[in-house]
Amino acid sequence: MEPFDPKVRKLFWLAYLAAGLMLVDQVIEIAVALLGSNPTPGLASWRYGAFGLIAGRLGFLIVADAFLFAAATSLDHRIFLRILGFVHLAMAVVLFGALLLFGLDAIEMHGRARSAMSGLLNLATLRAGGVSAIAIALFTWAGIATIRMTRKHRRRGESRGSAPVISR
Amino acid sequence: MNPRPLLPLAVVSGLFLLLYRVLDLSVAWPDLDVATPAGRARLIALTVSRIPAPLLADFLLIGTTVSLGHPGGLRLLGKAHLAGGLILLALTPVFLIDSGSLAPAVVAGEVSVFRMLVVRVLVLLLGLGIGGILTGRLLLSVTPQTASHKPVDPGPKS
Repeated sequence: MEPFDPKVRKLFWLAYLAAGLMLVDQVIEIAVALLGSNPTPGLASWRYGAFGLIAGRLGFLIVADAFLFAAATSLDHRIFLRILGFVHLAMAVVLFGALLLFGLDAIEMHGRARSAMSGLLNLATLRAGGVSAIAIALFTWAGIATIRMTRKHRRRGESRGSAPVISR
Repeated sequence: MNPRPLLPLAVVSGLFLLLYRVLDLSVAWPDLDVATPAGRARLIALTVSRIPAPLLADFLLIGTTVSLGHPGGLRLLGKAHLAGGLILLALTPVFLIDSGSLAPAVVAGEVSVFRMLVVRVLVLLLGLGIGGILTGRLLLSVTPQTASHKPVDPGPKS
């Protein structure tokens, strides 16, 4: 990537601030919604609602994510990019586990719901499940691509910087 | 491929996002009584809690203006960010005082949620305010020549 003028580079630091603000905002909003009413993680209906809420906020979190990637790539923060890659892979695994649990909860909720409500419930399940499946694919892709990119970058840097070997 | 003809599209998208958010908020504004602390606190909280779309719009507008190296656009955006940042910082004590006057009326079971909401708005006001001022200063210092046309060699990395 071509380096920018130092003043323009400083603007990318503000993308970190924007991403941080968005993440804090969304995390507090989710926490208020989940902890505001009496949290009962033992109930399938609560878990189902909580997953739906988080899935609905994933779009905003992905925008914050894009800001982080834009800043780290533009400022050439390789170590941070590598950490981001591993964090994304971990997030994909956690979200996959949560999606499986959500599937089981959705089956249980479907069994309990009256016929008039089952259509709405199916739509909500499809929306939350679909968004999460796309997010899992995105996180996995971003994670693998970032880890590969930083690994290649490091190797190329090493070969460029290393002293020539003279064989006898 | 030259992306410059497509850059105005990013400006329009950014302006559309901003307009959409303003119209969205303008529906709620007439219902709020700014003469009372509750109305003012709600107005500030409602306005700053819709940040993802305006931040994305800002990113598009700044990115495009810097890429195009448009001097008038850079100045306008710089001044708008400085003004916006100062307004947000000036609103911080107003919100703190108003939310403090509302605190005694909060039901015992909802104190922690109220505190979280207040902290959220304060973080946003301070973060957006400081960010706005820093962005404004940077945009006013970026000259069209240094914007993007010529990448500068940063020299050897340590």
